[in-house]
Amino acid sequence: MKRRYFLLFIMLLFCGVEYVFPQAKIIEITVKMNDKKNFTKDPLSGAEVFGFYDVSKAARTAKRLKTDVTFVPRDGEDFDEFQTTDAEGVCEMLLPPIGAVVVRPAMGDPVIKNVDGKLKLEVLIDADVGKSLKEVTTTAKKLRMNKPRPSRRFGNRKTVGPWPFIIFPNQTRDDARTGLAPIVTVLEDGDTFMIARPFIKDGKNYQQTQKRRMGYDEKNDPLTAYRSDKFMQTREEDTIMFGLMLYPIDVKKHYRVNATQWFENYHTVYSSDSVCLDEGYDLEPMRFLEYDLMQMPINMDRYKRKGRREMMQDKRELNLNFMVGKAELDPADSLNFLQLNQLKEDLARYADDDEAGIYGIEVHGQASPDGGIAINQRLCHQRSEYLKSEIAAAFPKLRSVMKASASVAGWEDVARLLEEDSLMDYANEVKEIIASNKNTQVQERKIRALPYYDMIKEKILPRLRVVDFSFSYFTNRVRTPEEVYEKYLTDPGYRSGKKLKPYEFYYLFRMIKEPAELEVLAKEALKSVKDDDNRKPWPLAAYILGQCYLQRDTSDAKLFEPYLDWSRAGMATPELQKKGFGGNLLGWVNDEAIVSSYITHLCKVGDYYMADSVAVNLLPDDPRFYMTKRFLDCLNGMYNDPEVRDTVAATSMMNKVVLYAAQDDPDTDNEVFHRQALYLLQNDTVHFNPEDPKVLYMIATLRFRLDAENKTAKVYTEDHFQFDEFFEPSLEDPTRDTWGYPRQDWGYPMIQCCQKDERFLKYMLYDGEFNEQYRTAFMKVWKKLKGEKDKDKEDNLKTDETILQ
Amino acid sequence: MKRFLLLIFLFMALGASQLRAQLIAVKTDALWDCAMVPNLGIELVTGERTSVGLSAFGSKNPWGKDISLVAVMPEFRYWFSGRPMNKHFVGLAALGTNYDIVWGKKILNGDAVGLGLTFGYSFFLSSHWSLECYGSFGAVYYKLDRGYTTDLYSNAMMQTHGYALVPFKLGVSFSYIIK
Repeated sequence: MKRRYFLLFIMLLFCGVEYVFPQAKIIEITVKMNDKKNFTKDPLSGAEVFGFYDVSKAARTAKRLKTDVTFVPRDGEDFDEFQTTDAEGVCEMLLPPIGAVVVRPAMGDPVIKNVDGKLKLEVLIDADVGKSLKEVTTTAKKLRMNKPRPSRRFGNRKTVGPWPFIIFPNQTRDDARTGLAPIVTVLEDGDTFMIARPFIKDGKNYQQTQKRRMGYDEKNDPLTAYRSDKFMQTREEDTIMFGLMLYPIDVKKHYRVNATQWFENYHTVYSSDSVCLDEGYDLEPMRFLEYDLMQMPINMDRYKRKGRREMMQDKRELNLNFMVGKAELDPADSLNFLQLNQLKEDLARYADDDEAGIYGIEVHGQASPDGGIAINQRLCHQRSEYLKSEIAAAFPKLRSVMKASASVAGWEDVARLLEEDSLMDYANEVKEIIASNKNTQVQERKIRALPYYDMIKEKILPRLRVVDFSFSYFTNRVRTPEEVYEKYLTDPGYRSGKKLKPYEFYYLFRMIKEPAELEVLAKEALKSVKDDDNRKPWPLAAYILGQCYLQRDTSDAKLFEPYLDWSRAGMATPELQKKGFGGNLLGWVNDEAIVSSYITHLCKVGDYYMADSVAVNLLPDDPRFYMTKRFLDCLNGMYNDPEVRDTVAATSMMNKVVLYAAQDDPDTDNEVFHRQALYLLQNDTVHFNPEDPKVLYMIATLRFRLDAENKTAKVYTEDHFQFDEFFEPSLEDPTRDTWGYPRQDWGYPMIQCCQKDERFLKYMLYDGEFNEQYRTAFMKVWKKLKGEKDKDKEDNLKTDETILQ
Repeated sequence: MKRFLLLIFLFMALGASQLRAQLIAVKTDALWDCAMVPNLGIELVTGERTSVGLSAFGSKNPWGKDISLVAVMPEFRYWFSGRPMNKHFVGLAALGTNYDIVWGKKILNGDAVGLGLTFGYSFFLSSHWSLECYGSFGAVYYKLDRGYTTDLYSNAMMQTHGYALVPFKLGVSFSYIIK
């Protein structure tokens, strides 16, 4: 028995690593000193070689070794295997095919190398790295140009730059100013999207002698805010740091950034040119990220509406547009009739119900104070009577319980509304006029003479011309949920939601599962049922409507905005049930379910930026929302952070590949991640379907990035987009032939991808990953293939016709 | 001479009513300072390319010589660069001076007034400092009482007057912009 257990233990011990990493193999690592001067590669004995089961850990450790001279790696935590090379410069380690090694030379930066399925690795250390050099100053002239660069795009946000725009030595002068005035246009139709802020750089002489000009005041110079605080010197190359964020933009469109660059001296603009800063091709590193945002179920009890036998009052405020001087509604204003119809529907819920009724209605019209009190009083009264007759025509039974009244607002009300709009100066002026003149006609005359009276006339006075419609109703008996459901099935008024009372909506929301039906009910409930504060629409209706939209693959983020309170941003618990001064409940704000639904809707339309802001400010710091926040971090470009990268990469293999392919941290050797991603895409057939267009697109992107050695070539040949049938992989490195050259058909996966799904063609044409030469060569091959395909189709048709004949 | 000075000050007073946020600079000619002729000038920007200035200098027995002189020199400048007190300029200067010089045995005593042209260049040193190099040439009208120290019998001096073309000034001036 004991022997059996002992044997089992030995098996597990030797198979342990293989069990965790089923394909772990012994890898032979050779470290050599590469002397480029003498063309020799001598083995390096005693070199420290750290082995890693995971590229991410290798990159983290390499970075720490590079940046922290006091760092001592710890076994298990910072590396998985460790060996030193023998006299031949060789060591062996048990590593999985997706592992990596880091070699730390005696001096210089560590070198990281992926295993990528190879059995033998050769790591070359530059000979110069191992020796300490004396300080040498070298001056090199290099031909540099300001070329347009692709920008990064995340949903409806595009980040252009920041990158340095070069000002060449023959352009710089210390007594001149230079500037870049960017203009953003839509690539598809050429429309101007925006004229962005300028970027200015002055020569020292130019800027400081400006103050010597007659009457010059820097505070009045609008360009001061955009000036760089560094000066350009004559004949010394300089740069302007250029960066722009375009938000929000249309996710379906692409945006080009051109700029006018000008140079001016004291008198005149002596040079002006147009430059292209961004051609409109964007990098979308998170295009294929599979994210799953936390959907919190709503606590329906918070928004419960109870049915009870009750006498209740309800009120509506109508902004009706009457014709000037008349008591008739303006027929051109459709909003009038919409409001009136909505009112009639609300009254019908109670007036037409057997179990309910309306016992009092008061129509109160208010007029604005302009035009004379007596006239306004009379007109106002006529208008209230008009409304009364409209309602009576629809509900003759209610004629006897209706009362109409009217009043004219005073100029104090105008001052009050100005205060509410934070126009304190204007409000104080109006109050002064009122206080110093008791006669309303004099008040009106003086207020009309104010320079901003037009604003008062357009924005303030219409708000005083309102009709308040209050009605008192009762309900005799509360229906049970079953009765409500029965009514729903049989009564069209219930089915359309027009006759439902709040508690009946509540019951049905719990019972109805069909999204189309729920959507109809939720829309009606949103119009007619109010929150506890009697102002906002019912949050439960908004939530349910939002869920229905998501199921229909559409969205409306604005549904949720009334339920957010940004003054609670950043608090430990942003969620709160608000109360009024008297302790009365005013409803919930920042309900986690509503906030998380809002985030989902925002992500649906590509507004990751706003979604991240909402998540950071209005969701608590809770483990439940951890993954949502990490996904949003990725979607907003923070994928280089190791915690974010490793957390999201662990969610799925596709996400791992997307994150690894996206790595662009300037302080890290990103190529190890890119190679790892490519290796996984090409070799892991368990997780990646080689026929999937997404997989092929990613392979094409990575192969172009890694295998296409000459990115500055003027032309790419068609061979790069056709299968390389003559390639013979070497035994040591399957990605290279015996001569050490990689496959040349790095464009072929893109052809395969577009053949499977032509939508990816548009992605590729606007993808900043690919240059103009790639696009041109691809389209040549693509058109040829399309021509051949169409010809084949024609031939097949002709053959079919012949056969038929 | 006094009338001339009065005219200058009247002119400045009239101009003063136009003062708003003018730039004012004070300056001193280093060459004249080295020659023990202390001098001080003030310059006022009057436009995008113009400025007016007033300099005064005087000396009493410099280097032990029996010389005393006092002069004022108002000047109007036009700046070609487009920025006042920066780079090339040309000016129209006036001169008013009173002198009493014993040079060897000669006694020279008199007044002179004149008008001249100035050419110069202002080097930008910092936001407050400038270095100006200039030369000026013009015509003066002089009234001169000439005598000799050896003339023991009479105090009478020979009076002459006339015109002469003379260099007005040659200088290297440091200028400090006050505001």
